[in-house]
Amino acid sequence: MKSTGIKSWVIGSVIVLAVGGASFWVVPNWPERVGWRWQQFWAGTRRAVLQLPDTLPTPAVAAVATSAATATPPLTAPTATPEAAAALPAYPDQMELTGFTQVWQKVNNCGPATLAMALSYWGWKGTQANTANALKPDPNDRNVAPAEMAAYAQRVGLGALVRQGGTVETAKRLVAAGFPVVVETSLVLPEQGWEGHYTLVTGYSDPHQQFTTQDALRGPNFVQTYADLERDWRAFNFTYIVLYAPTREAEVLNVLAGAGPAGDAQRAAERARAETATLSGQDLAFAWFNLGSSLAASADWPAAAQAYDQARQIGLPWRMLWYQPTPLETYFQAGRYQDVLDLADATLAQADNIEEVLYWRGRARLALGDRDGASADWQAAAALNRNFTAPAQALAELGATP
Amino acid sequence: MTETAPRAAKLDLNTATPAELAGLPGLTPALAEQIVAYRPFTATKELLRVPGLEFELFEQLKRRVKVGRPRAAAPRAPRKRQPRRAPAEAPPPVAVHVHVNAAAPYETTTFRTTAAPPPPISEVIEPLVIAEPAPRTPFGRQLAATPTRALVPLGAQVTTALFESYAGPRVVFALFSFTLAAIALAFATGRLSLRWDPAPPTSAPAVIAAAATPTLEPLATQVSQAVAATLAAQPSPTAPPEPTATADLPAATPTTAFISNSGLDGVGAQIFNETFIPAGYWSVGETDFSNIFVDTGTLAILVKTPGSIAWAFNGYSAEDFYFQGLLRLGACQLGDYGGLIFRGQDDNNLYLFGLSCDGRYRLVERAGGEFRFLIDFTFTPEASTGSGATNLLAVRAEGRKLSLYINDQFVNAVEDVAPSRGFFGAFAKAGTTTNLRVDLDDLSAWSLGP
Repeated sequence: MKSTGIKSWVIGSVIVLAVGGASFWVVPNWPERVGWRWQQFWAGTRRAVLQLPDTLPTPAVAAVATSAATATPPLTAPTATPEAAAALPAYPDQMELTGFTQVWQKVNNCGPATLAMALSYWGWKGTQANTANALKPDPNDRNVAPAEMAAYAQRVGLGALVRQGGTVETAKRLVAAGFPVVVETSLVLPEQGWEGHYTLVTGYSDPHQQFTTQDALRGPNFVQTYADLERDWRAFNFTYIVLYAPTREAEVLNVLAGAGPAGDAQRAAERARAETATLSGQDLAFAWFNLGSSLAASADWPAAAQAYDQARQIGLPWRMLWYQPTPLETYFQAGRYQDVLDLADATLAQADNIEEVLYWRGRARLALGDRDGASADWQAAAALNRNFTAPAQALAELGATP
Repeated sequence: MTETAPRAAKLDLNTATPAELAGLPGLTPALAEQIVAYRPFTATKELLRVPGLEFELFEQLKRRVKVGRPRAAAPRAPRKRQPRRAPAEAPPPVAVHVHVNAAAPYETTTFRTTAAPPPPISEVIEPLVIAEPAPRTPFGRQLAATPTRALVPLGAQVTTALFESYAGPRVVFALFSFTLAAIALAFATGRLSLRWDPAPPTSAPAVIAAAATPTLEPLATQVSQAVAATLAAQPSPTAPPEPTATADLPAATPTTAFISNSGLDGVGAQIFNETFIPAGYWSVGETDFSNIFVDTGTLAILVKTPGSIAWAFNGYSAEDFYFQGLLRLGACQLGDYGGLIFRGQDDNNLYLFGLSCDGRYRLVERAGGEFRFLIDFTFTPEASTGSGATNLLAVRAEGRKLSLYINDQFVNAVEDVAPSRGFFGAFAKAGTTTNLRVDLDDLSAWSLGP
């Protein structure tokens, strides 16, 4: 009986090894098919072994108490002068733009790939090799900022603007006028959890309440409902990028009702403020985060820090600062250096190549007297991205060389 | 192939003075001194061990020098050459799937060809059709067709590609594994025993027959069918909403004239875009001196021996084009470089545009089996340098003019002797590094002209 059991195990093992081995050798490109899963598995195992949290660290109790006690009064929206709203023309209830080249992203390449698709609409020839090579000197860089993408578009001859506080209405109007919209959104992948993601809005349908997007990850003509896109967009304060032929800038501004960046920021702040009273759960955390970002944009650092405290208290995804490191600057400007270190350490423990996080940790370290630590952080940040010049400047001020 | 080397005026490497050596083409006085310091030589190929003397220079020198000391060598067996199949014998899809490696650093005229050489260009170019790519999911979760030359039906292409790419040990291993699995299954189900049983169970024959009788179709066909089934099973992309733009709606397509001031301006239709997810036609294989394979979304070229060069072609060719690709040099040192191959008519007639580890580019023509430097190593500030650096290399071939770009910046241009149509490819050369690895990614080409 015992030998039969052993025999069964041996035979079973042989079968598994044989079939598995055969699969490896016969299936084409198995390294790439398996490799990324292995990376995910390894990252997940590492997170589990090191017991890395799923959310960013919450603020110190004293800070939260202070923040909660004073949450309402200071969190006022920036007081930019309201810009006159122009009368907007009517637009059709559905529209589809065509003429895009689908670009399938490589790992961590949604920004360059989406930008390549958006540029293709305007006649640009190229691939994500061109955009990624320019935007990500470190191929493992996990994020490209909207401003960097806009700068690339301008460098190759297009007009580009980056705004926050976009709405479903904004996206529809731009598409109706012939301008596809790059939106900075998020998604939740089963194996990877919450992540930032860029997608390109190229159509809409009011009857179906849905957008058509060209997505570097999910494919061409990927359909999302208005509600789903708005939900995913919230994590990035409804940030969007519009590319346009320089001769058509007036059209774009007309669609945006003449609102400048300040007006957009004000609207974004007002919206975030309103949403803090109506949303719950993760969406509420994002609303507080957005309010913090809008307040930071107007350099109201103490109030912005309080808003971020609220977001952290509810719980922010651990990848949040990969894409939006503004809380680090905010806490630094508010003199809360330990918060900078806590957030930076937690982020860098999971990915050590986020140059903006390294930069701000360096600033906090120097403020706390750790000159060597600051220098090390800035050296690392400067090596990661030659386009990000702040670390080199900081090193120069420190008397060190990158 | 018989080489006709000049017999007169050869210098003896062991007796020539430094001044005499310095008179040889390509040799500097310093290098001549290095050669003298390296004496004695027992064979001319030992020149390759002289620091600073590169393979290309050796090629120029080897017919002008000799080693005077007589060698009592046993008669050498004729060198084995891999016979090349005539184009007519080559299966069409395989024939455009070429991988050539230099056999040895000192024997450039000998190549190991792991697949058939390119067929005559006319055979390849005429039926060129870009097939519609099939839908696929990101990161290669499912196999899908890339823009592929529709010379033969897709299923047949996949079959042939699988056989070609994984021929030899892989298929044998697969057959062995399946056979082992079948035997193990028979054991497990009690249908097969090591003890001879004169009275087998009555139900055994049917099961044993099922386990032991192979399918009439060859393995590759089975695999092809499985792949085809996978392709068929892939979900089609979400159907786009019906276009409803009408004449009174705003313009749905832009009409702007685009000027980016890069080499991409004015290019025409895309010839191919190779992201290696999954890989198109690239012959992969290993020799004693190199290993070329697809790895996690890149074409990896591993050059095992310093002084060796290895290259691979894909199945596309053109005469006037813009060709670009991302190049990443692994752990590298001075003299290591890699890059693009273009206008490759065969192993002996092609162009190489490469970038070295220390940020110098080089344009080399190989004509009639001889290397000629159109632009020798030239430093450019546009390049990222060092181990692990990534650079975007591009060449714009327009008639006789060859323009070179690094990271989307123009760096140089030359006038070629005569334009020619040829295949695209990639290469790596190890100057001093053992096991130099070079990765190429996102290789694309566009046609020029109407």
